[in-house]
Amino acid sequence: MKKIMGILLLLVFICLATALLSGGRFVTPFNMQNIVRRSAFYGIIGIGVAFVIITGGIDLSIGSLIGLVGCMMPMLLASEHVAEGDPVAVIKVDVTARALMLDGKQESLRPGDLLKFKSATGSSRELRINQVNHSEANTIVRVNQPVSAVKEGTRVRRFILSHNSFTLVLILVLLFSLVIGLLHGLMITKINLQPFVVTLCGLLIYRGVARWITSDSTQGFGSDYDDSFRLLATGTPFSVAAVMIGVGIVFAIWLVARRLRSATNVTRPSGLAFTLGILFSLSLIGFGSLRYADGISNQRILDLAKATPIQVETKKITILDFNLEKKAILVRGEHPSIQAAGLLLIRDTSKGKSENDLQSEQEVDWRALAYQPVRGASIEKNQTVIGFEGSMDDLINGKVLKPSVEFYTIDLVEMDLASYDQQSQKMTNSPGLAGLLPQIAMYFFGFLMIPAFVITTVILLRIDARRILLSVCGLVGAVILMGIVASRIESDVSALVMFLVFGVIGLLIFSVSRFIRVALEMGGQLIRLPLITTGLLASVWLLGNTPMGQTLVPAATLWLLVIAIIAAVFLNRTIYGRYLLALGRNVEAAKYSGINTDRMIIVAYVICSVCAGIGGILFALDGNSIQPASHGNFYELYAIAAAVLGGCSLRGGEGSIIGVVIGAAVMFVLYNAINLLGIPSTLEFAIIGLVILVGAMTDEVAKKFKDRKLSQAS
Amino acid sequence: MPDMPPILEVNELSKRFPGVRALHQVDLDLLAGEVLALIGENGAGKSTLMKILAGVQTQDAGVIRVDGKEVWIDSVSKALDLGISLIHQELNLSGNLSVGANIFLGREPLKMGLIDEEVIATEARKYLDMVGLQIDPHVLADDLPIGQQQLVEIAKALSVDSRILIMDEPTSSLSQSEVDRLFEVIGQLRTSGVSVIYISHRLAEVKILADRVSVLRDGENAGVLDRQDITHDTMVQMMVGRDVSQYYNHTPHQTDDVVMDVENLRTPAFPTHELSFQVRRGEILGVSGVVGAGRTEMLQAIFGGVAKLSGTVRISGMPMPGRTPLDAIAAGIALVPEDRKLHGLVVDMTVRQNMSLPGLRKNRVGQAFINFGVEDSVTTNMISRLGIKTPHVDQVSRYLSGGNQQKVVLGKWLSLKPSVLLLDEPTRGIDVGAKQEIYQLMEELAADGMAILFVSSELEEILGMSDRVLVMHEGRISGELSREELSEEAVMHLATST
Repeated sequence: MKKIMGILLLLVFICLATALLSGGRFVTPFNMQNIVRRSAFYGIIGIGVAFVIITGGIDLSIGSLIGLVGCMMPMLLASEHVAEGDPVAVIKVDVTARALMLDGKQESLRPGDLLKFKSATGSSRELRINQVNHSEANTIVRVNQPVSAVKEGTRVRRFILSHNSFTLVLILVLLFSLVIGLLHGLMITKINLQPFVVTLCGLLIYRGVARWITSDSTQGFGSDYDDSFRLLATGTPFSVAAVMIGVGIVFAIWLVARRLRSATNVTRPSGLAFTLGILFSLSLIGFGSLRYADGISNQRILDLAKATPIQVETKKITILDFNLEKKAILVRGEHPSIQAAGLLLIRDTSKGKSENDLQSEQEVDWRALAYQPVRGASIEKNQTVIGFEGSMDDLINGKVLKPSVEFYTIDLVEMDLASYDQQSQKMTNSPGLAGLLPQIAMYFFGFLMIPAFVITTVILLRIDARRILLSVCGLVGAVILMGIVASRIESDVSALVMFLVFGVIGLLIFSVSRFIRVALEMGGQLIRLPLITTGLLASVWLLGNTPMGQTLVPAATLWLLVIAIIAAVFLNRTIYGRYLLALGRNVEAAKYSGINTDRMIIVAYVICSVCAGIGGILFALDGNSIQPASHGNFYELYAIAAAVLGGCSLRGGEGSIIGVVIGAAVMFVLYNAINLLGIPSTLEFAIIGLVILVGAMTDEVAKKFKDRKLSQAS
Repeated sequence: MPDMPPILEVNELSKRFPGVRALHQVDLDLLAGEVLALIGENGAGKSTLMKILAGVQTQDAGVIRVDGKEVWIDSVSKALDLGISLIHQELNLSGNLSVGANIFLGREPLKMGLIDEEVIATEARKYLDMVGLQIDPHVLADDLPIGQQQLVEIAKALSVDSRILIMDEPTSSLSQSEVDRLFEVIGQLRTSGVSVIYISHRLAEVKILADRVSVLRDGENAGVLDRQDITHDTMVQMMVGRDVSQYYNHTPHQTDDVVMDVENLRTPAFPTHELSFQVRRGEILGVSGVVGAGRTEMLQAIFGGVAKLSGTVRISGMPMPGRTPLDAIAAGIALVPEDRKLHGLVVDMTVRQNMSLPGLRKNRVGQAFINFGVEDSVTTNMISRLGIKTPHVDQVSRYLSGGNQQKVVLGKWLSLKPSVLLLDEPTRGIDVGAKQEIYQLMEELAADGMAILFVSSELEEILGMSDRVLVMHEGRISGELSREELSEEAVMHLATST
């Protein structure tokens, strides 16, 4: 437990430092999403390797396996070329550009498809399509091969690349990982090879195989799965609100179950803790629901805008300047079609050209960021000034708007003004009690949440004086994270102030609640009411008017959550988890207690490789550009470092899943910080290494200190 | 002889370990050019005494004099400076180095900062000649037979001008011809003025070799025998001659039902010997013998800790399938192993986790989930039944005393209600109070009908607790004694006869 607190403290410290030093760039919803998503991936492989480390082993092949899996997926997906329709005529041939103009609009053609024709000599030839452009009446394709053999008027046959079922490929890839793990385990237990040797060879072999099967050419999914399976890794399906509702429900069920089940157990929560806990979960659910409803009503406007456009113009408009205070942008050209009360869709087309590599990995989620209700537009000579109703912070934080002007276009959406008016009426111009009620309820639930949580924690965990300090740090961390999510931070100064205020208030609440706990023991029931009131007042400061509910949570978090829960249950609640912990500490004693140690070690390696497989799938879907020679390089070391930071001992027998998850977050936040703070990326490894070293040393020193204290006591 | 001053003199040496009195006011003197045999039962304090003399440990009280001068031997190098070398029971040669390199390990002659191999070779040759070894100093130590390695060790001791050689069970792994050779060398050393302290369980060898015999018993001097008084019987009497203590309160419970029937069991340690015996319901079958007689190996092979080579173990008539601990546990066998910290407990896990470990599978909920309720009740029951002193059930086992750790090991098996309990030195390294509680527990379990196989090196408890005793010697059962025939002399005779 203490180990986890330590690593949590480290995470909080790094977050805080980065937030303060990066001048607000760290705490944007976009960056937060990125961090949460990427650290979820590392978390998953970290959890896998934690199992192996618990047995006292090591797995060095994770990174290579991720690379191999990444290469296998696109290859397995692309199966064969299927003939489609009647042959079409080639109208024009451009030999130098290797381009053909085909008759008619051939909309089914995609890069990777084949065109086959019979050459003058009668032999069959095929061309692989590289790029497809459509015009009104025909299609221009660029191909990989020379086209001199194609005569104008030749009829070519189209072969569409058909894809295997994605689900099938997922299953195949996971099975493959499982077999790899099984082989590792068998070699380690039955042939008695050292884990280091086996997996080091794995590292080399899988990397080599990946390069060989792909001929070292970059693999990817193209844009075929952008809106379907790639969302498994890149999607953002939940809002924070939805997560809050989920957490609230789970916590409430857990509390009730615990109270019901352990009727005689000493750990049964007291009446007060139970009541407050239920109150806390209700407030989570309530606050979340209201936020969720809020988000949905906004979303409806957006959906409406998409669903009922009168006209969609896809004009490339260059942004000349923007003005934060006046909530306006200046664009080149005269655009009379932009009218007040329309919606403007702003889209970043500079994908991948941002100077920050880290962020370019992620396609800007412009749908979430860039709809802006237009306040009005005034046309000047060759320029148009567009004013917005909403804040432009999101656009700036998301880097959609920048003073450098070249890379942005604006898609104009004109919409059914009447329906927008209706919606916006509901949103903004509905005073009166009915309109205010949800707002009031929201704040009420929000206020309730914090004190209820703090008090429940104090009572449920029976925190004593020695744990107070650590718990305070944890709390401050939680509060700061909330602040980060709150994301309404406009400048460095206000960020600093906000963190300080949060920290101090967290401390205050905590010490107050500690005082109150003592008072409770003496004063009993009478104290409850003022207690909650105090909490309410304090919370006003904490929650404020935050757009927290609308921040989106990446899908990767869901996978991490599912895997982490399964892993934690397996490790702590099943006999097999206990066996692993036992054999990790003393394999002989475990064997002498009737445990099939070989089988359990094999299980650990299988878990590790399957987690690496899952990680491989997610990394591949997320990145969509898999270099066989480098994809996944060093990931095993990140995973091992995350596990070690999270409290796994390389001597075996120790480890906690939540620790590993936090450890993975530390790793990625560090990585992110190095990018954001403008530290030369050449120093990246050195810094990560140093931080891990310090972490490990602190841990050892703390252990020695504890041992000395224990031996003095005995 | 009395007018010759002793080269080594030990006066009232005492040493305590937590909970154990290893040595109590022990005296010893060694003359120049003498072979002094040091004998005693296991745990009598011989090893501790030797370790103190060789600088591995230091005494709590008492004085050591070398050449009449008082010395404080606080390190091995100090001992070497004084001319004292200890040759361990387990050889301490580095097998991957040459014989010459081993002899000069740690004090290599240098030439311009580099190891001078020539000097090593010529010097090593000189010392190897002294022990009569005609081998090339460049041969790797691992390539020599064990007897020659022993002689290399002696050569190494001579190379530092040792005047006192302490040899701990030097013949335990030697063949007869190697033993003869070793004795020859010892004889030569004696004539050249080197003194030897010779520790052995093999009384026959002692009789041949020793000028005098010093006997230790329970950490105290039991007496000294001069050359003319050394006989097998006198030595045995001095080793075991003590009152059988009062705290064995054994009433025979054995019945005629055979619970465990071991037939032609062969262990990897002694592949040429077959072991057969039976244990009955309610019987405590003692197994005696000196260290290395194959008792632990026998228990391990029955339990599956070490896979047996062949043989059948029947539990209540049913042959036990397989040869892993898992099979043995399923058949109703439990083992309290000799090495508690290696095989008995996961010392870094809590009392609760250790106690529930073998029973997790039996008590699981559904396919795989731990039954925390049962785990809790089993642990609390066992803690109160066995009187385990622990602050709480989640105490890490490492921080318990030896006796309490041993009770946790017992507890973890008793919750499974085994029909056969194998006890391997169950009272080793624990204090008298805990010992007595364990005897009491054995008594209760036997009364409940459990069959107990009880291996111990303490003759006293074997005599006190057993209904029947098997005596082992060098891998085979050298005799069986009924309760009526039991006597210390009878056991010692069977245990040491060659």
